[in-house]
Amino acid sequence: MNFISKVRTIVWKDFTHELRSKEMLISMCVFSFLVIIIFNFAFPPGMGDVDRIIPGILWVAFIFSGLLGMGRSFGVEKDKGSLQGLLLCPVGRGTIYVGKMVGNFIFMSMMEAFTLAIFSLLFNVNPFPVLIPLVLVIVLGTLGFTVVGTIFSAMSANTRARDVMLSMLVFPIAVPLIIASIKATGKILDGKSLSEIYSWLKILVAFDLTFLLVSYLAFQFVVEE
Amino acid sequence: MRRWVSIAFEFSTLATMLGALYAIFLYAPIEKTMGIIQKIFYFHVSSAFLSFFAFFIVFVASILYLYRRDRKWDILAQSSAEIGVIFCTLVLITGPIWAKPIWNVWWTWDPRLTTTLILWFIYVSYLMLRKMAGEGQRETFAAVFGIIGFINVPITFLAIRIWRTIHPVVVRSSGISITSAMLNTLIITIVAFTLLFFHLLMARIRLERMREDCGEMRALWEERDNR
Amino acid sequence: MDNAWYLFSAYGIAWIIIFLYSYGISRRQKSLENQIAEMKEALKQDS
Repeated sequence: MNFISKVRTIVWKDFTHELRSKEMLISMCVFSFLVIIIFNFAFPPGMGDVDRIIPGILWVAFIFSGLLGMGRSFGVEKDKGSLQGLLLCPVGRGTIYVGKMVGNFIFMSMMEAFTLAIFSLLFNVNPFPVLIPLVLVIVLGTLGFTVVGTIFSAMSANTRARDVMLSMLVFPIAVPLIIASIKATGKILDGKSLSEIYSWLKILVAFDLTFLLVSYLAFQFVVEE
Repeated sequence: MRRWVSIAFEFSTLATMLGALYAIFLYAPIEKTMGIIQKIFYFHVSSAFLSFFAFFIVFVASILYLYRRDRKWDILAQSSAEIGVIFCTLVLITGPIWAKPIWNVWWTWDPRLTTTLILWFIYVSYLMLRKMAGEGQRETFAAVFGIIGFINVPITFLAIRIWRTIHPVVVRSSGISITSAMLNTLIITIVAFTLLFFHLLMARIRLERMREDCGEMRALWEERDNR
Repeated sequence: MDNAWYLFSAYGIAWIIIFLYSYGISRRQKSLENQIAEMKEALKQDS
């Protein structure tokens, strides 16, 4: 089996598992829905400065909900002991990492699509004219988030106070990602073209590539017993 | 021989620190625009430099631990991280104390100060990870996080800088005119702080080694008791 | 010159923090030394 098919198998395993219970996906979507609604109460659209914080609201919903999902990712594996099984397969550790990461990315993206829809409705934002650049920014941001979130989830699943530990690990590291994503999203929703957010895109790509490489190499140390 | 070196080291730490204090208060001129409070600068910058140096040591020690699996690298990483957090805290405390009388705000979202804040969080999380992780995995997890954390710093600094140039800061943080006397004073202070850093680092490493030995002894003793 | 108060508190806090940490290390060291002394005593009594 080559690399791609190994990764695909791992993703498929997580996907079918989730499809049966849909537990994680539903929790993530409900949670992000709640976040959007709460922000709607706090900052009703139509109030003066709301436009400036709208991209922030969207990303807060993405991030908190995404953390929830990623915490489950390895939490479930650890509780059920299936991580051992996975490690026994003749698959490189880095490959397991990529498989898990892609799975997390897909789930987080599904949640984000749903969240974006709700967000557009409740905040009267029309994403369609700028859909392509918006999706690009969201994809780059989500990718970076799942890249670090996956390896930290593997670590925090083994610690006390799992979810708190995951947040403490992810947030400081994700700061440049969050800044870049929010700023770029804001510019895009304002109708600016891609060339104006060039520096933010560079940060996003640099973040994604750097930490993908580092996490891929470091993952083997995290899951060995 | 070792005793002699240790005493010489302690003495030079004290001597340079006294020398730095002399330089700061009696040798360096008072800055024109800011007045006497500018003298916080020497401690502030030295602490920042040392905390960064400490985290660099954590980075290198973490890599060495992952490759060599020798506990001594882990002890070095842990000790350096603790002292780095101490110096980082100092930066974050002296910064606002300096800012308040000059610019009338406690916090400026200056790229360097903000990056220091994030750096502080990263290494506090590093220490928390060490506390929360289990026996065998603690060292490995910490090492991985130490590496990722350090690599994150330049990226974070860049992102914050781009953010701040788009929304220019109302107050500029490097509004100091430096004379050569000030530069000399800064260098002396940095040297003094570096010696202090190593002094604290040695003490912390010694403590950790002692704790390990004590733990081993206790385990052997209890085993003997149970027989 | 009331900025001097700020100057004093900055340096004061710096020294307090460094001193507290140093003191914390010596305290833990003392407690370890006590544990070792205890064990020594117990070993002496046994033999």
